[in-house]
This record gives sequence, structure tokens and C-alpha cells, in this order.
Amino acid sequence: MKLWLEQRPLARFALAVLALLPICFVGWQLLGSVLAAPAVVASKLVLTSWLPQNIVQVSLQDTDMLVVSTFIPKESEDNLAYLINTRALSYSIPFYTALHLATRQENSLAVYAWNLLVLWVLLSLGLTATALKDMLVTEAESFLAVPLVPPADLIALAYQASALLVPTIAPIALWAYATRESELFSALLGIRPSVVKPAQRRDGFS
Amino acid sequence: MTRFVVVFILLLGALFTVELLDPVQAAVVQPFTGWLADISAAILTLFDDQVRSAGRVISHAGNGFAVSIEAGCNGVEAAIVLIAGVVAFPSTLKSKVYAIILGFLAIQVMNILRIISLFYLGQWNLDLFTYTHLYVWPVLIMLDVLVVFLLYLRWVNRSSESATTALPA
Repeated sequence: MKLWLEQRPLARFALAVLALLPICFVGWQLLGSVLAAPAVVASKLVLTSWLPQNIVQVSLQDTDMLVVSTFIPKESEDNLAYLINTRALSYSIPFYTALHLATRQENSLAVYAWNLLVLWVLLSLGLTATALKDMLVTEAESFLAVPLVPPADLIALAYQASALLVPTIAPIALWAYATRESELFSALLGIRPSVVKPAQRRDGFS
Repeated sequence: MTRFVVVFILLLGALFTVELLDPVQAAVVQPFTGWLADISAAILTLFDDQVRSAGRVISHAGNGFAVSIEAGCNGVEAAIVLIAGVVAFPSTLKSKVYAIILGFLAIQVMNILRIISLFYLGQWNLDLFTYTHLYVWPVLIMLDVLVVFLLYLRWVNRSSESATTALPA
């Protein structure tokens, strides 16, 4: 079995990722709001600076982002509030962690930290897009009348992309960029060792 | 590398936008999702004759549980990612067509597995259903896309290596 896997780097890598995913998901579940907090803080900065007249409060409630707006629905006296599930976007973190841990790299911790920072930025953009979409869906007329609010189609596209594409593509893109010159990456692409320059061959499996 | 990234992102944006257009949804995505529900229900019926499908909905006549296959659950977005990657990577048209067809099938096989597993999970434990549906399966589907794409790149690299070796010195 060991020999079989040594001759099949792609199978070995995929199995390593599959084995690491449950552990990473448990860690993500346990860390909960700690992982969401930086993105919510960034999203709060964006939303309150962008729409200061319309956003009353942005805060973290467990793993949900609470956005309280100035919009008041007809026949009501209460401001509209939106509860956004940060986990629906932050699962990119355990996915990236599993890909990263399945690959041995130089400066592994620094690479992980930088890429985690990128994922947090994308997460905050995704949360912002989700908040805009929620306001659009519930109070379209008054929301679209606010200056600086983008067109409805653009909000819909930004939301769909951040919810459906970014959480799964970003981890792969960051992993591929970080490991692009590694021995593992060459092996995964089926490039024979002689084709790779010795200086480039510095990484491998963990 | 830069060319690949630029073409990939442009194609991804274009295909994703086209997929969201109402006529495309009505003529392609929704009927396709309906077929996916029919195929999944046909497989489920082999084990349980109370499973029914209607449009995008798969239901259980016995306990009333039902799932609807919505956007993001039909594997179309995953296929778009694969198509963008395959088209952006330099290769022959024939290779690209084969890779897209086989890759699409690989994604849909995995996706049908997702639908069937979620149908059973939902009847057993709704919390586990939600967790698996929202977080675990999207990762597994995209891992499937990554493996398919890497297999394609290996095949392209091997083909070009053989072609180079075959050339006279």
C-alpha cells in the first residue's frame, strides 16, 4: 500500500487532504467566532463607512454577523436587522488548512498566515456582499434609492460569486500559488523530476 | 502562468454571469436540475420504492421528507470552474473537449452521491444534514474538480512529453 501510494502522488495527496479535512473541520467548529471575528470587524468598517446613514450596528453574535439597518418595514416601528451565517463562507478556512497541511513547504507557518489573511479579506467581502443582498431583498426600493448603493444585478452577482465560488476556489488558488514551484506540485502535474530545475525542487509531502 | 490566471478569471466571470441569466436558467439550468433529481430519485428507488421526484424536488411518500435541488447544489458552478480551468490551460481542442465531457461526468457522479447522501441524512438528522450540505459537500465537490483538473494537466504534460521525445534530435 505504501509503495502504491509513493508511486501515485495525486492519490496520496487527495487521500491526505481527505484524512485532514475532518480534523480541520473540528478545529474550525471549535474556534467558531474567533475565526469569524476579524472578517466581521473588517466588514463593519466597510459597511459603516460606505453606508453610514443606513447601518446602525454590525456585531458578532456567536458565529453570526448581526447587521442592524435604519430601514423600517411598513406597519412596524422596529429597524430591520439581518443575521448572517459567517460559517456559510468561512468553511474556506478548514479547506485551505487541509490543503496546506497535506503539503510540506518552506516557511510553512508564514505562508499559512499570509493566506489566512487573504481568506479573511475575502470573507469580509463576502459578508459585505451578503449584507447588501439581504437589504436588497427586504427593502429593495428604499435601499436602491440610497446614494452609493450599486445596481441590484451587481449586488446579486457579487453575492452569488462570494457564496458559491469564492469559499471553494480561493483555498485551491492560494494553495496552488504557494506550492507552484514545489516538488509536490511537479509530481501532481506529472512532470518528471529531470524537467524540474534542482533549485525549484524544495518541497514535498508532509 | 499569468496568462492562465487572467483567462481563467475572465472565463469564470463570463460563464458564471451567463449561468445566472434568466433565459439560460429557464432553458438549461432548471431542466438539467430536474433531470438530476430524476436520476437521483431513480437510484434511490432501487433501495426505497417510496421515493418520488417532481421537478427539482425529491420526496419520500412515507415520511413526507423532501429536498429541493437549488442553485449551487446542481454541480453547474463546479462544472463552470472546471471548464474555465481546462479552456484556460494551453492544449489541443480535442483534449479540452474530452476533459470537459469526462470532468463534467465525474462532477455529476459525485453530485448525485451528494444528493443521495443528503436525502438520507435529512431523514435521520436535520442538523447533520445542514452542516454537511452547507460546509462539507461543497468542499468535497471542489476537491473532486481539483483532482479531475490535475489529472487533465498530468495527461496534457505526458502527451506533450511523448510528442517531444518522438521528435528527431
